[in-house]
Amino acid sequence: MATNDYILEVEGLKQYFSIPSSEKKTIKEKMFGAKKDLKAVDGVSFNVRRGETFGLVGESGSGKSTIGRSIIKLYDPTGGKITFDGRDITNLDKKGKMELTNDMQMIFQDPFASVNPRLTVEQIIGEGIRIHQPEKSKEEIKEKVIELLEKVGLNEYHISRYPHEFSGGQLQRVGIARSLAVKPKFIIADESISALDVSIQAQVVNLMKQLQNDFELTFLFIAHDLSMVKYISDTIGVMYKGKLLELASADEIYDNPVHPYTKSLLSAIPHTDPMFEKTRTRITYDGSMHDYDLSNPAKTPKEHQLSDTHRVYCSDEELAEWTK
Amino acid sequence: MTNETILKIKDLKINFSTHAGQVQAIRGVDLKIKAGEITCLVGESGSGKSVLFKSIMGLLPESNTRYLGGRIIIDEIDVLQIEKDDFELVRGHLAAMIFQDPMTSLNPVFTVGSQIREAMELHHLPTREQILDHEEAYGEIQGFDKEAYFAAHKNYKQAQADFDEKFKAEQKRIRTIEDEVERQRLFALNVEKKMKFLRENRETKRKLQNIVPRRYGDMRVIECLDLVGIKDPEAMAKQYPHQLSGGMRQRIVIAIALACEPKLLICDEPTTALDVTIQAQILELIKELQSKLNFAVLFITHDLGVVANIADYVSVMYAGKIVESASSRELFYEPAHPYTWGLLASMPDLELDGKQALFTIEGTPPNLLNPPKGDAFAARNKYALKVDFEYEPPMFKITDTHYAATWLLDERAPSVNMPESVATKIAFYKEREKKNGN
Repeated sequence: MATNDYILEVEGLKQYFSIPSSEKKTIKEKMFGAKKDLKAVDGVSFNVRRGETFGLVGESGSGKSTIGRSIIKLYDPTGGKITFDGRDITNLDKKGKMELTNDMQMIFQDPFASVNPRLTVEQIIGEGIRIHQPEKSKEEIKEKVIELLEKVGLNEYHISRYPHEFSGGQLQRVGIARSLAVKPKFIIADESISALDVSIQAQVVNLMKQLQNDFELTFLFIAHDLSMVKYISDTIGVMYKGKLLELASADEIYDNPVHPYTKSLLSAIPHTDPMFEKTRTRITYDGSMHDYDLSNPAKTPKEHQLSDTHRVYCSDEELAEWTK
Repeated sequence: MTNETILKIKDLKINFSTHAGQVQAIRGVDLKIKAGEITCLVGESGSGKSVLFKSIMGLLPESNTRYLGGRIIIDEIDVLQIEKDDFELVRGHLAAMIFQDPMTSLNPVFTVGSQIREAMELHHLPTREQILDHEEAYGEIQGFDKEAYFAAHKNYKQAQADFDEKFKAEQKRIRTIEDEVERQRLFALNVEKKMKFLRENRETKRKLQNIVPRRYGDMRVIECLDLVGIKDPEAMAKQYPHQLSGGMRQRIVIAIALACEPKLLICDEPTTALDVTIQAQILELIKELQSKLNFAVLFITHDLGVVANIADYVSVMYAGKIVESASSRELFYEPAHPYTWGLLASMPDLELDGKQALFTIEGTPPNLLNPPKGDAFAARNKYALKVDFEYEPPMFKITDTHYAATWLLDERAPSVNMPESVATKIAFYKEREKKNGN
């Protein structure tokens, strides 16, 4: 496949944060003593095809949000390479980052934390347009903001309101409208529907799909709600403790999961069938299996390509056992 | 015993005064919660589910809340009639709550242990058995005159039981009085008598609590932590909330709630902020504790998957009203209200759905400043009949446990089938149930 089929290529991305080494006890040592690295994302590679939705799932602390933030350059990666639209964006200066946000936008997890409480909705949504398209007049921006509000299921009369006047669900839709304002090619949606009501989730997901068709948008969809992720995504990556454990097409992940962690995640999804819920058993997952014995090559984990679209991160021994 | 009604809400109506006018948040809600049952309240944001539970707990702001009618009855007392200072006497000993975000309900500057202790010392009074068990396990408590405590405790309980008996007999007698005005006057008098008794009782309880040795409290804290499935409770008691993960924090909040020995546990979206795996654990924990301790649970959520997992009974709320209430099986297998159909259809199903667009309920909930005439859901309901825009549907009875407020159930209504995607889903579930049953 030609490389320009991929809008985003992530290669061996590493994102470490330095934290005080836990053996240090005194405050002085904590502040000035040796630091150690917290490996939030540890060597993750994946490609996102133009126009597809790539789902990233995993529990909190698995590094899925960190990946999103590294891609949109909220963090500078420790290692690895990120290519966006044929351009290397691993290291960008301030101007480069600014230009990047014209093509790439993010919808955040907590709507209240991601908007300025002193701005009205008009200012919040219009800000991006004002910065990236300075030629537009105030009236044009207002018109555009109203159009966006209606697209995300809000009304014109919301335009002069402040964030505290909204419920979480409504404010999240403001966040989505904001991300759409500059007509980006690529949107990172970080848990952006978890806070919404079921019926609104469906509206937003349908909206995202429709926008994807209309504008050839590509989504990186980060979530822990697996049922919605399966529904919306073409490809799904499963994260655990900074590693991408399993990567496959959405149907493949659900029909034919290989890694036990993926299986345990799947078994935790609640179904809307009370009789089924009462009888099913959940698979629990033992995280200690990740303490690999690195001296033994058969027990050292690496990436195994099972098929064109299915990849698992494990040791040879484990793979043999799981695929028996 | 298991069927004791813990809480009864009758035709409750609540308005909020705002600058724009009166917001009709609750527009006539009936609800009954029995011991040993889990009742789920489902609805989207703005449907009034949070207002409803806050009204039960007496948490609504006094300044702009207007109770237009209805009752909230706990232990035969209409709590809307009593003084604010007396809330704790009736509700405090009855209900405990768990919120969505565990961090905001924990105090960041106190250890987990001291927060559980605080709740416990307010409400818990150890029984003779609990003290004896404690002594058996940890040796005799020095400097504690337990015989005196037991005697005082027994008197306290006896007085309570005696009064309750008298109170209930009196209530029963008053109910037979035919004169409406006289009856209401006597009811009020009787309740006032009970409140006076409870106030005096509170003093006795405080005195008793002061005698209980600290060592017993320490042990009880550990017990509570152990109850919610924490591996090393002694170490956990010394931790601060910020040192814990979200799931652990939620367990602590549950431990605090249980320390008060509530008869009713109100959970306001306790798992929405958690990962699916942790959510499954917390739901499991609530179910397990509920069957062990036999309290009632009012579980507020918008996730139907969670409802299917946990509920015995479900009430669906829309625009300040309950539009369908049913047992869990009836709601998922024989839903009757178009709004419920919509909710069910908007959840993607792992086994069934392909990539077609999800069903959505068009539009937004009505503005409760001016609720529409007729059925509030009519404007978004594609099955709406002409009558829906004129008259509000009553609750139609389908079975003893299943009620729905939609004109579609009227005998004059045309026969309407639920959306195909929901019907397919249900057929699939029934098929699977049959298969698993055999």
